[in-house]
Amino acid sequence: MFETLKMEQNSQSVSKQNETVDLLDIKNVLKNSGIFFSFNGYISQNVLGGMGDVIEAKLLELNVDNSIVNRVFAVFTEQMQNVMNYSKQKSINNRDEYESLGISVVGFSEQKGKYFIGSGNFIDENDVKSLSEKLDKINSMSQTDLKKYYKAMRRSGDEAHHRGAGLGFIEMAKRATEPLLYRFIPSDQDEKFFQLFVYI
Amino acid sequence: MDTLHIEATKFTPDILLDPEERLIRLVGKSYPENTFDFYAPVLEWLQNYFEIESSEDTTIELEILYFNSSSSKLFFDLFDIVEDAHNRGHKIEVKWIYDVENESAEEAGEDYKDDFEMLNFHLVEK
Repeated sequence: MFETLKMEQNSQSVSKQNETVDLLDIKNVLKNSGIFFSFNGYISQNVLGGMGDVIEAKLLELNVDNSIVNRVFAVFTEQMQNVMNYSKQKSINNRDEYESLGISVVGFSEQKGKYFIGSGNFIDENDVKSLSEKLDKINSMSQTDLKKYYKAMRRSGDEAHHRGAGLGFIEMAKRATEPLLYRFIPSDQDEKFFQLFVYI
Repeated sequence: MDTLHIEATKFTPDILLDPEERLIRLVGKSYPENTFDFYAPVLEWLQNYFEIESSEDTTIELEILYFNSSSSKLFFDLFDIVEDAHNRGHKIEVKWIYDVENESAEEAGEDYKDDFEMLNFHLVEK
């Protein structure tokens, strides 16, 4: 009896030592923030497709209005394709797909009574200034102005590059009910963690 | 000219470019990873079509349930080609088909109609 108990204690302390994180803690942090979907890792187009399905299904299961489901899906897609295009940690995998390290969350804020979609990825320190100027400009606009700006940028193609039209943030702002909430978190000397929350 | 048919995928619409029927039809969702590369053959086909084929009636039907921002730019470029052809004398009817419950598809159609006011552009409720 005593032997068994001792062995159990031993195996417990061994496993504790081998684990670096307590996943239940992470799970509780997510849960307490109202987050019902999260992903951290390599994002490719196929991963995005699967995640989009899961988010859509979950929202439909919660009987969320169709127009809100569509807006969440659209913002999620723009965020993930931004991560794929702009994350500093980007590579091409052995299936010839682009994949980028990023994080994605979708949840419901009880406090605001709104759904939110969040994304995070590392970006180059040099891109911080232009990115924050772009986001501030978008955040200063009314919905009417945003619509005009979107159409003007789409016509001119000024922000377009070979992998995108440069319209993603305007698209998100058009679908949002609040300004885009963004932050650059210091991490390394030449890179910052860029996080973005959009409330629907 | 040959017919070009690209079957739908999870991320791209069914695309039919049929010179005999004089029909250009895109149905489905559009949010590919590399939008401009994906649609390059489609735009090229269109340019050739309006150059080679006669200017009789052509119908263009777009029924796009969802599209990402780079596809939005791509469709703009597509309508640009179509408007050019219209200005050169081609008879073209554009139908933007949407489901009544899909507000953003309807709004997107209105925006394109605004941008290409020279075109014979109809919003068609499904």
